[in-house]
Amino acid sequence: MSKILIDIKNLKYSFNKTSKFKLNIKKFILKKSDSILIYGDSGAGKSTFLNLLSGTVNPQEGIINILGNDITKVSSFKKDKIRGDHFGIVFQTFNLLPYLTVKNNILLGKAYSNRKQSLSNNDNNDEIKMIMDKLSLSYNELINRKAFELSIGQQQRVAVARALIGKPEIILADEPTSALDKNNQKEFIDLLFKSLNENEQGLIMVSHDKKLSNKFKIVKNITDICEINND
Amino acid sequence: MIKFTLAFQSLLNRWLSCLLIILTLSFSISLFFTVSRIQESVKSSFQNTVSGVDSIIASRGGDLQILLNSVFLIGVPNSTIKWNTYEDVTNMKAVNWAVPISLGDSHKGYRVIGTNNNYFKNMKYSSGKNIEFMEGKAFNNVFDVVIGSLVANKLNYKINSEISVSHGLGQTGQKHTFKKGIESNYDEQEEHSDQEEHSEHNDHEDHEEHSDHEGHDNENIGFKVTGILKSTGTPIDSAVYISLAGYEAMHSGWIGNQKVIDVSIDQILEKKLQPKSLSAIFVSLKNRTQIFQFQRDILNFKKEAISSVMPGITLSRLWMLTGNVDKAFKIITLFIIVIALLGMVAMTIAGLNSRRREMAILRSVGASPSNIVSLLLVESIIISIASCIIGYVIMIVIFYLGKDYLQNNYGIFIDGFSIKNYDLQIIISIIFASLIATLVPAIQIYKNTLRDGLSVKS
Repeated sequence: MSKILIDIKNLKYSFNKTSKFKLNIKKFILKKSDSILIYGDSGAGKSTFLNLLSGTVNPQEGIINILGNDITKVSSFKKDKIRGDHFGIVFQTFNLLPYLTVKNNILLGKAYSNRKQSLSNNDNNDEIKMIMDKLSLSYNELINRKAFELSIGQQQRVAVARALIGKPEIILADEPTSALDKNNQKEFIDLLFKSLNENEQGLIMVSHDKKLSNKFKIVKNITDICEINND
Repeated sequence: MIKFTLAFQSLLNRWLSCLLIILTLSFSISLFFTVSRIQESVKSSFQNTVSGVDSIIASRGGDLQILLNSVFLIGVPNSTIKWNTYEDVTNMKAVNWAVPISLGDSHKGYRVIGTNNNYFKNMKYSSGKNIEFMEGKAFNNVFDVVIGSLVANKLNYKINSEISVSHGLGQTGQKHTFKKGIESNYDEQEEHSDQEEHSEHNDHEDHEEHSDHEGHDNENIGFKVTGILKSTGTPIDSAVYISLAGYEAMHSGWIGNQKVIDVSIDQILEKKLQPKSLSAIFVSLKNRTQIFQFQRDILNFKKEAISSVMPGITLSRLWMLTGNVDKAFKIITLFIIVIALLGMVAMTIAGLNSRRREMAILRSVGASPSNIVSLLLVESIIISIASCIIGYVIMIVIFYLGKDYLQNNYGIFIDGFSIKNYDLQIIISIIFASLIATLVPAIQIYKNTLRDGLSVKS
């Protein structure tokens, strides 16, 4: 049986006591090498789900077990550390700090993680070059360019490079293809999976459509995972 | 390293607003340093005005008035003391040396001091520095004049320049003149017709405080400059020294404030030029511990009512009065720094909303809210250190360019180029204050990051 990366049980979350939005998850598991696509409409709770997983919001009840640590029970400092050490996160768009170079944007991925820093046997430049090669980003051409000089497609791939550096076990992607055109979307997903397969990372991607689902091992509607009360 | 790069690059990304805030801060910091340096210099030149003088003896009066009059050459001279008193004081056992001075006349707004060569030999300034001659030498003849550096600079006098002395303390006081034979007879009427013109032509308004007496000026020759003193940063620089004999000579033919007869130089020189009265006596004691006994002796001096003033104590009292003005200046400059810091806070707060995405990205890679707060604090440290360095450099430039001007026009010596201990304390305080000021936006950003999580807001 492959290693469980995320294990959620009986989770209950609402913004506050008076809020109508309530999110309940009976059970959710992400294993090593799993790739899960969660689709659903806007406002269905996809982003809240990712915030819960990454420990930036706290549920009222339940367990979120990340690599053996129940993050609902640990301090916020520890939660930040777990996120820094074991997660790589890609946003919908504007993933990069525009004033930093490509190199520094990628290095930011392990700036707050001792684990990621200690895992890199190679020189930073070698590691970055390797990841960039996999993502079809020209190292020589782009490494010292400022992020704002890149195309949207390039920016999203640099964001993936930042998520992958330091080999985190879990990759969360919040609609990373929504700003890309069709051809770029496919290429992006192909490159993402190519880089994942070698490291056996677990991927959770949320999206509003399921057109890109053919590469994913598990495809679920957000409502299948969460019992969402949004009356 | 990447974290420092992050703070630095983030600042660079907002370079215009950062530059403005750094300029505001650095100008206010340089203002503070400049004011402090000038204050310190004024204070030290003030407190170093007299050194080595244990007592100033003058006709009975208030301590401050005697000090202002005899040392700072400010105000109307007290009534005089007798020459015999000077002789008695000189002969007192406790006395090491005594220097007599006569005041009451002026030259183009600068005070004239009648004294003897012991003045230049014995008087000291700035904790024991001797008065030195830049050019020339002390009195040799009755009509020799020694001038302070400021007088020489302002009036462009050289050795052998001929100058005249006006009666009274105004620039327009009636001239002391001498009959050099029949042809150079002084024409009183002509002088009166010049009075209006000269009182309008006032080149030395900064010496208005010396002008206590009304009078009028005339271009007549009397004395000759034989010595120019080195700059001291004290009232010595703005004084004109003549010998007591010269002082006596120019008052020949005068009764009180009125000239009654013209006297020729030859007639004067035939007389014994022994002054009958003096304004004050500077006294140094053989042993400073005898000062209280000496004070009592002076108080009990039977022949004349005289006072002894201890310059050190009176100077301190005087500084307590005038020092408050400097404190006020310092407080104003401190407020300017506070205002600049508030500007920095305003800039940071204004930029917070547009940086929420930046913060969410940092949170996603594992930065805790406290990491983000510390990023903000590092930015404010960079701004404040840059401001302190630039402010310090501005101060050095100000003093480098203005040093001569301050010295020549105000007698203020500035030692602006060395780092002083308290500079570092002030720089650290400013950096600390900027950190405290940044806590306001820091708390704001802490709340934002907790609320936003990874949900990137625009």
